[in-house]
Amino acid sequence: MRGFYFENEKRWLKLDEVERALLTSLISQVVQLLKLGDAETVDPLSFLEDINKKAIRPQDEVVFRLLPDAYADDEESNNDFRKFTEQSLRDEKLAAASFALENLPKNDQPKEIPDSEITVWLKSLNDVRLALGTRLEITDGAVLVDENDEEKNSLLDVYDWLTWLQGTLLEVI
Amino acid sequence: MSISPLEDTKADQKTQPMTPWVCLVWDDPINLMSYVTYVFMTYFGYSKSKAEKLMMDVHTKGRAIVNRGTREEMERDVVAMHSYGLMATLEKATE
Repeated sequence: MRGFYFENEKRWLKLDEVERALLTSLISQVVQLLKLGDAETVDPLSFLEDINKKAIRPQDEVVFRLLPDAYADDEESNNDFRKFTEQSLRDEKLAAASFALENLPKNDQPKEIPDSEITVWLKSLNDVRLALGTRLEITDGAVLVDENDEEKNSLLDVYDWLTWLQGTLLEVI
Repeated sequence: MSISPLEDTKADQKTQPMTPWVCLVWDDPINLMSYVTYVFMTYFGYSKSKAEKLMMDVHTKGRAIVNRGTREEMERDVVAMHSYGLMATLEKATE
């Protein structure tokens, strides 16, 4: 339980086995959501260009939180905006998640995190927190523990751990 | 002697605001305050004090204007904010 830290003029990430497995699982779930969450609305030819003519507001609230509207009150503009930007935003988030999966420490040894990787680490960890926090319906930062819901409580523990982990990185930049 | 209409038009274009759109960031319960400050400093290049003031505006007032420009520029900013996971929208400036 060391997280990100600064030592010998370098920045490191150290995670134990349970933490590595947890993070791998969580990031993989975000990847699944971004890839499959709205499969029917992904234009199969959209890889040809960054335009997805079928893009509509995601039905899943977690996917919608990751790919939100760009206009507060203008459905037509939102739909147009999605057609032209959602695919590239999806791809960027998927790339960040893939990067994190590939670059997680492979063992208990600390892994050096260079300056150039700070943003992609923050973005990928933040997307996981957004996904989990939205699923847990966190509304005001303070979280209410429900004694009768063990699954929710263990997910709240995971959410708190993610908050701690992202916080350790923010402290060493 | 008279000023030509062409010059008048040019002068008007110069004084009219060319950038009537704004990018807004909205408060949300998940993003950490230190992360929002980091995003404002990193993406917009704002000083730490300006980024912290904007972050506190978002936090206490529910939303804050973080940049102004053309519609295209504000669309780029909104996409960038979404890539960082911040809630952001663009709209026509009212002031």
